[in-house]
Amino acid sequence: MNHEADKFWQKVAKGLARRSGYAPLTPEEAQKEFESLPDTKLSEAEIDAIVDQVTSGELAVWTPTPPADDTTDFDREAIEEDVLQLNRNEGQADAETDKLLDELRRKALEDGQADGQEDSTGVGGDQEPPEHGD
Amino acid sequence: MADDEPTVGDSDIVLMMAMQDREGLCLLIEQYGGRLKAFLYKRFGGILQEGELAEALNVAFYSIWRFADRYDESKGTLASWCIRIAQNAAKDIIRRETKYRDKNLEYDPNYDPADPHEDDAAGRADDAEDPTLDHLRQAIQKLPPLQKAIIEADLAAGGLADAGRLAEIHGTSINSIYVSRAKARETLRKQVERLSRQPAGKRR
Repeated sequence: MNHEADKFWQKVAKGLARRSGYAPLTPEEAQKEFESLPDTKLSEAEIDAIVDQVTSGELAVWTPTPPADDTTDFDREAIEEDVLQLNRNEGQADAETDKLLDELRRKALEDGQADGQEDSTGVGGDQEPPEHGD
Repeated sequence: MADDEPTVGDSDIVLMMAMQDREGLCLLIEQYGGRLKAFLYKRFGGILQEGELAEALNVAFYSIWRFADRYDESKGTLASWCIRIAQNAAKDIIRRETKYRDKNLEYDPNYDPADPHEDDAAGRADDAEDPTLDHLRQAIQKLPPLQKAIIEADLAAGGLADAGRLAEIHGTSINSIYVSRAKARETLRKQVERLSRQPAGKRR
């Protein structure tokens, strides 16, 4: 897309990384950093787990996942409505909807075409099931 | 008495690890594990996820264990060597770069896992006084969330953060990562351009 923007980024990335604390540390900087950190010991279980992974050479690789609460872009109202439609309790039956569903079921099960007569979509005209190779 | 107990120094720990003695590794983790973990959380806690931070810690100890014989006392303390290795481990995860983990580097006598990788764009630069950088840092904070996350991951990676990883984290496509990255860079470039047109006294 933008050659100029990329060139600009190459120019400032080093300095920005350093200002943000991401530049490679020198031994002196690393020592200072180490001394500033809280000395909280790892638990026995943590140490054992690390030792097992390191000495076996089988390091677990973590697959990143979106945060659990990262759903701000979804239209929750629409989802809730759909969920209600799908998970309607028996006591919340709606007579009008039930009637419509029954009608649709009946239509779907009806065989309105006699054998050998194609319907409007051209389906159902075969008297015999097709042979292999037909 | 406790005073009579022999103390195990850094050079003993390194020697034990170089001889593949698990006890040496246990001692190292007991001694430095907490601070290495704290370092990763402090520097990369906003970029790496919880599981990735644990992975970075494991990878760091794996490198220390593998290359214990490369530790050179004249280049700094064992603690500082470990911190620099942990920093590289975290960067590799952001870039999804595993070549330094998988490659057979035992036969390269010059390889030191604490050295910055040769493709690390965040190498040292002499720009400590450049005021544009402060302005840019503020501009990054004002970018839309996805663009901001990509730019910050790129900075932490010292190059290009892996687009697949970012897409997984932000629940989007790899293509949208590329597009957002390009948009962010363009926005930042325009910000600096606008700044350079303003008289020095009015720059904010």
